[in-house]
Amino acid sequence: MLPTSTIRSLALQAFDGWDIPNGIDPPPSAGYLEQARRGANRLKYPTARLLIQPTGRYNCHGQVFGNRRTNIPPAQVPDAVDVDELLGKDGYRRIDGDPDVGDLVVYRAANGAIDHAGIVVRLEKVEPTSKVRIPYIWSTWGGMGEYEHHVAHTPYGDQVEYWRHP
Amino acid sequence: VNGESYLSETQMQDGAFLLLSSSSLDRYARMANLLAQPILGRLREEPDSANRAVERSRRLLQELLLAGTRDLPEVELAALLAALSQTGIREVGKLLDEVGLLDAAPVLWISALARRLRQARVTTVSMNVHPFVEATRSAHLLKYDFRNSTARQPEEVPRRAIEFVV
Repeated sequence: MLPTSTIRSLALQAFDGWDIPNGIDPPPSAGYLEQARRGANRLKYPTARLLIQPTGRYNCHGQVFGNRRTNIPPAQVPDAVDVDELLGKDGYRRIDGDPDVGDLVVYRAANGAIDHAGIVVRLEKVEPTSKVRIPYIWSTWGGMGEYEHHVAHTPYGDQVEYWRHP
Repeated sequence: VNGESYLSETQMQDGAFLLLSSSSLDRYARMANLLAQPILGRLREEPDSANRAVERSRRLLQELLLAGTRDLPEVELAALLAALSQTGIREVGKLLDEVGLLDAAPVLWISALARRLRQARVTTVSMNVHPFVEATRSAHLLKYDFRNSTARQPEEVPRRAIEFVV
């Protein structure tokens, strides 16, 4: 007999009352994670610092919109959530200027799809006298765990956008 | 899984990272397509190897279902499905249908990938749109959407190779 999905979901709503499809997955196998870590090490993300060990429990959108409690969207229906739509339903607005701590960062692929999201946790000056500040992000890399990283040091999309709660 | 892998150890590690770090089906499918490139090259060089690739996919699938959670065979299987979906082998449609219907925790991502690949799979079949233009012998490879067609006269519809999902 084939194993069936063990995924369960939480009652979770956006600010406007929309039920957000979500699901809690079992963790990936230790062997899968080990190979993935080797891949990550070879691909090199110099500032990425692992904060929380990998889990199947939540992904990047689950961290940002679900408070680290569930995966958004659920693996069973991975195209069930349009994150652009979710940003609107939660009342986020895109900002044009520099980000601030607490803003949400969104990574888009070349085709416009949202690949990843995280939260700005600190801004670091390039040098003491510089006005340019580099955002550092707290985000969950799918099933690979939580990282803090330079905004550009991720395996995700080409374009970066910042969004803010009103 | 016994037998020769279609991916090198390095490709497996990079692939494990790229797939496991995906939070959206769109990215997952793009990563699977990246991993599929070396396999596609091999399928082109050895056209007879496609049936072996289908067979290996089925073995990897069984292995994955027995694992009980997301596990390493997912990487090669995702790459194989993405590569095979770009071939015209009838057996591949059947395989994608089977995988797409599975609802078990270890294969939820693979299953969603199979559904997406199935949806996108096109086979080019040359057909006569109208015997009036048979003499033109101009078979063009293009997508022809009848629903949006404004052609009213047979002359306006050359013989085309129609792409449709099989």
